[in-house]
Amino acid sequence: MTFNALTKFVFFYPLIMAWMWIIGGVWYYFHWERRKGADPDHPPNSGSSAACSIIIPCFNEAEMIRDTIHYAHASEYHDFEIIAINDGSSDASPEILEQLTLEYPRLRVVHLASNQGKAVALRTGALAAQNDFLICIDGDALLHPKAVAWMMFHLTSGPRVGAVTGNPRILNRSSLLGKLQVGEFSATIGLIKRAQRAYGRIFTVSGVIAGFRRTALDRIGYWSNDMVTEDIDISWRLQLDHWDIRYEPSALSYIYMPETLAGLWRQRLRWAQGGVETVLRHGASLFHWPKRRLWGVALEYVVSIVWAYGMFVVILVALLSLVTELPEGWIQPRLLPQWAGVILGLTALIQFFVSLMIDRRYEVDGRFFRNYFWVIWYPLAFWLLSMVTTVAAVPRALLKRTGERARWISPDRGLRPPEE
Amino acid sequence: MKHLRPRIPKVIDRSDLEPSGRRYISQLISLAGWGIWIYLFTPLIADDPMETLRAIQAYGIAIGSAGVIFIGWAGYNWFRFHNNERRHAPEPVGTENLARHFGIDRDEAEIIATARIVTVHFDEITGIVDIESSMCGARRELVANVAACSNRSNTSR
Repeated sequence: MTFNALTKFVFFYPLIMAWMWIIGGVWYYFHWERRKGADPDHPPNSGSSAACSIIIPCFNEAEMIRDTIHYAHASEYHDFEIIAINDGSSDASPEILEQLTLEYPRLRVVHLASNQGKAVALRTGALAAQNDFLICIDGDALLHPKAVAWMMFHLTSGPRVGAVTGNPRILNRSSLLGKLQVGEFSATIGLIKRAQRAYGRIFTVSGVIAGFRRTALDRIGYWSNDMVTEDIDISWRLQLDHWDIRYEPSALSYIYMPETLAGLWRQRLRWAQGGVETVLRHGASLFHWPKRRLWGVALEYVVSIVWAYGMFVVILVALLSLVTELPEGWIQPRLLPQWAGVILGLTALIQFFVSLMIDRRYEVDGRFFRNYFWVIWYPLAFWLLSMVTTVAAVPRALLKRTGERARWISPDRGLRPPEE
Repeated sequence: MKHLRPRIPKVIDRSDLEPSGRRYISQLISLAGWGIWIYLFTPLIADDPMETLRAIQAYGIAIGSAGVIFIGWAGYNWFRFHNNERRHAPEPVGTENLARHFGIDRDEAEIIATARIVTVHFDEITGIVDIESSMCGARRELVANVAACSNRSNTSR
């Protein structure tokens, strides 16, 4: 019976996926991460003397931009320039940036006369760059001194590498929402990236820190200006053009995440909508044998959308069954089924344990483990959050007018001490 | 100012920054999360241990099969594509190509690639219509003001 099969599917799918991420994460760790013997402070020597351009699109970043430029400028790499793209900001960003050119000799500033959106800002950065390797970071991302060297190690390591993505680390952890995201970034997002890298293709680079080969971008026409998540779109188009995208967990970039529910919701909804838009736009091009390496990533994403709606239906039926009798033969859905529950709980624990073991080398904070204590249950909540955002995002993506320009405003940057 | 920042940015983990009401709500949510998580394990003490083993065996087979497929696919990709360099080192994009792609003159492409400060004007469909280098007088004045403010705030720290 269809409903009973759906009930089984919604409980099995997260379980299987969590184990795939665990297995993929362990595979990646032993295959690349551990064997390399390097850490964030000691990137391997690529033997290349290539220069790069750090591109920083900023829209109303007056509060953050000084720090962002400072840390980018402090990169320990032999030859680079920094290009800040002021995307028609209405705050003091333009003036601050111009003043910073007096302090930081490697900094150049490109003003867009009016707000154009992040994709156009990045495109303009690619045009302005003097080098063919671009390291793109967000206007509020603080680079680790060796992050650029790590990214360049990959970009110069072979002609197939079109892009590389780094490892964003969350700085603000005062509230429960902050701690949840710390756990999520390492126990879920980090594991997913490693697992996807293990099977050769990744769903998306992190827009907050990604490096690109300009020749690859030029072949595919640079960033699209009508996708709400330009990073997911560019990742798919690069890989559809057979470029490799690497994930480098040692390329660190420090970020502030939202610590309000409204900020988190807006951000996650945008991510979910961006994924759906990308699949809608590029899904059809996957039906060719040469594109097969992307099938795993695409299948995982499409099934996760089906799962979200399936879970939504099961929850509705479970609530309905509280007030009315279900048709004969239907499984009475319990929101926490007994045996699946034990396995799910154990899986969440193991997922956290594995990610903690893999991820702790990227933490400078000795209290890292404490975050896990607070949020040991989070892998379960992660699935509910994914369900809600996906269910809300699909109609938004379907109803969006074609060609509508994507513009977005950064969410809140969490709780910061007044002296910051 | 720029020398005051640590080499690696500092983690902010200060519960005093959060209003106490929100802090208590967060603690309650965390406790509830723990409660639900522990509740998941209640069958371990409530039911027949043989049933536990059978259930774990069934889930183990499902997870193991999916794992084998996953590793098989990862392995196939590794053996089929690693060290398989069919691409040659790509040529740099070059100013001429960039100018053509972005619909501007070569001179304009050179200005944007070299000017320290430049302003780009767009039309309605993100086409570049003008590129002008250097700051205007008003902006120069503003920069001077911001610099003065910044110096004052640094001194006060």
